[in-house]
Amino acid sequence: MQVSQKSKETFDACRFCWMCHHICPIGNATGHERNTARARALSLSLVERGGLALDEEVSSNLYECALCSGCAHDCITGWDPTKFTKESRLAAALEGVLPPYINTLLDNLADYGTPYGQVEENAELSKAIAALPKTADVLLFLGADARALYPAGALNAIALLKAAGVSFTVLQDEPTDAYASNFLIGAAEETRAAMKRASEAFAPFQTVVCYDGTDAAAFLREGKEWGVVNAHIVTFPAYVVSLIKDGKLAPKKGSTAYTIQDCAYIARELDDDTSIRTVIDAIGERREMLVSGKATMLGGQALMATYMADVIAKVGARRMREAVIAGAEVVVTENVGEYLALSAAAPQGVKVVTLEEAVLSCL
Amino acid sequence: MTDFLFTMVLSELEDAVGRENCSTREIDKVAHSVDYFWLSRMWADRGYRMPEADVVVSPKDAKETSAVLKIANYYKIPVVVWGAGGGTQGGAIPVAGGIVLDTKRMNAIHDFNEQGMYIECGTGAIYKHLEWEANQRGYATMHYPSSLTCSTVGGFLAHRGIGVSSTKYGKIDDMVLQMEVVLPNGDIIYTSPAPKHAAGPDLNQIFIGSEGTLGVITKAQMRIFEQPESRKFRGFLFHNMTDAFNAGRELLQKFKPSVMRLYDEAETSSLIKKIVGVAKPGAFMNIAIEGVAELVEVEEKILLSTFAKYGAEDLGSEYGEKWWKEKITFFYPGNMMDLPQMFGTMDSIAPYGKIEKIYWEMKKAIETNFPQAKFIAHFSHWYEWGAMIYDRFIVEGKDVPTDPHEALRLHNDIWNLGVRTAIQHGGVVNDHHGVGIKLGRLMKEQYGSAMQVFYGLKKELDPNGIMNPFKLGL
Repeated sequence: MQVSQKSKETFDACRFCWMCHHICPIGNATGHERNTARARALSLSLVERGGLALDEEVSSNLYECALCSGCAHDCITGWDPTKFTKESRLAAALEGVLPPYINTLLDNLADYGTPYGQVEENAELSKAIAALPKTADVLLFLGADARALYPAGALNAIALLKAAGVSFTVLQDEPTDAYASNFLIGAAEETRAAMKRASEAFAPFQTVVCYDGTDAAAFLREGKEWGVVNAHIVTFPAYVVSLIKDGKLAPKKGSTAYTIQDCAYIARELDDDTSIRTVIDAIGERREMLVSGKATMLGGQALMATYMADVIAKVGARRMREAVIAGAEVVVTENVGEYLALSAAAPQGVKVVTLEEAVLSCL
Repeated sequence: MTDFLFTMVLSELEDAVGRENCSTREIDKVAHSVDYFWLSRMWADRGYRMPEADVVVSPKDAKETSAVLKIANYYKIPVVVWGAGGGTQGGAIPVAGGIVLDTKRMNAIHDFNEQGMYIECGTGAIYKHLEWEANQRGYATMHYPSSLTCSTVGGFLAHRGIGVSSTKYGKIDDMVLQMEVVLPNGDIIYTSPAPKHAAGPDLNQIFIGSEGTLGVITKAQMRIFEQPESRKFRGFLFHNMTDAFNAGRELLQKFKPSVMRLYDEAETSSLIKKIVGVAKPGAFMNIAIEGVAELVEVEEKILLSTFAKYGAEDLGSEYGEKWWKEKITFFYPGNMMDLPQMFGTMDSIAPYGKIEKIYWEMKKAIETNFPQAKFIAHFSHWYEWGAMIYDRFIVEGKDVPTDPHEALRLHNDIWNLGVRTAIQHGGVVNDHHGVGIKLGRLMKEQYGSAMQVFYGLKKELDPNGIMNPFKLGL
């Protein structure tokens, strides 16, 4: 199996350690032992030792992980199971043993630039994008999840930047979804090429604002690490903070209590759990779940919902239950996948909003 | 079993729990074949496959569990109950194949009962999730073993687990009110609504510690406690173990701290030095006192005066607080013993009149007969009448046979000697890790003719012997 020595050391460390069992949103939702970092590591260590074949069963279990880094964040001694999971996905791809549903997503990526295939864009969103100037200092990168799955969120993001008087644009044809490629096959040539294409598309702009935390994390972590993304990229929550600080947005602080669902990819991978709190503090009261901030528990995942919808629904329901116990009335999210899963799980009396929707309501 | 019959049985199981909760996939069988037992880990480390189930089923409740057990009983198929697989004794390994019944789908919180001070939950719930549930409402479970984050409620009940605050709050068998149990014949029963009574023997205590050999615990009411108003730590360094035992015993006649942990000189100079930072020679003891602030003040004074009589050096609160913060850190990869080392925790328990003798005799026996083994210990759970030894042997990788069968023999030889020494001097085969397949053979030596009580229960409740065969010596 073509994985790094570091990955081999990590799955050998993790294969007999159960300490992150509680923190895995997928394992908690399915109750399947195979979904634990420990079991995944055990299977890979057996593959490495010749006791198990790297086949479709083993590789499909690699895709039952959201790469949310909850396990890595929780590990006191610093092991990161997501690293070997991602590398092993690539190894499985190279050995031609990916599950069919992953091959479909990859085919979609290759053919249409998004894992969701040929999706007709929401007419209102297309119109809003077409109405924007073609050149500007700021690029709002909406990402495949918003364009395909939640155009209302994309429209709100555009509306908020307009309300702030920002000179910005959105690309009619955004470059191939680098985040999805990174999620599905990690550091493959295809992912690097997608990152490079994105970087080239970003080059004319001084600032690129990533609407979805998943995209931002991919560009800012892997993209920068591989040296293929040079643009000045900011997350949407961080950009909203700057707009408020610069006086371009002046929301009125109301009495609504917002329960924060941190985007794991922003909070942990980009080490930023303060931007969303700064915004919430400017518009209302903040309410925290017990497990939050950098320790947050995933509440949904758009890409995984395409191939394990029932599990992601359970992930959302479990997280929503925690929000309700914390007294949630309005839950505020930072990415499309969590917005969709939590919205679907919200009981009567609890509203789920995106960050821009929350800010827009206070202008 | 023929392929035809196996497929027939499989379709019955799928009918009982749903096809998606019934797996014959290799990945699921592998995931359920290795637990925390050193032998299973060593086997996998050498690239060998441990015995695997033929099918893994995940029932959602007692009713589905009942259906599975009825099918298994009819076809006489072994059933092994699996919580989260964090046990050290091989109790959850399907050594005879058959069905692994994974309880983790039964992880719902059914009731948070502030009046009755308990959480009613499915036994597949991870205990840390109960703790979160309690914390969010201002309470705590007070059950804090190192495996808090990785074990289920059912797993703790099945082997009589214990947490670091046991001296004040008790073991898991003190923390449960009523339980729902599915008997091997599929009947669903409930233990008495209150755990203390005079209505015959305690049904709870028949199933707690039975390691899945007598039935499946599917639901339990676990106690919660108010968060303590004050929690204070105090570290001490004793000149020798005898003084520490006498001090601890005397203290417990006066009040109950929550945490009491005494480390022998070998462990003080290794693990405690590394994690907590105590760099002086001697035996380190950490005490935590908690509860109502006024009482804690008084208890702290009693603690200081009692330990001073035995010459303990007061190290202040710093080391104790550090220990509390790092109490689980000890068990992460990199800090914990790991392959290629061979190791085991023999934990024994005995009254005060015997416990220190057992410690010295075990140490002598292990180090004399197995010079390649290092023996370290701490005493982490204390009662008014006695204490337990958390004693470990460690054999460095270079001294572990490369042939896995030889490694298994050496492992079992060390265990046999250690546990037999404990039994011979009045100790019990195990304090809180359970028995499993690791120590099953020694149960008869522990209990002698008293084993007939267990045999009788087994024969009556599980006449076909399907439940977790070869575990617990049954």
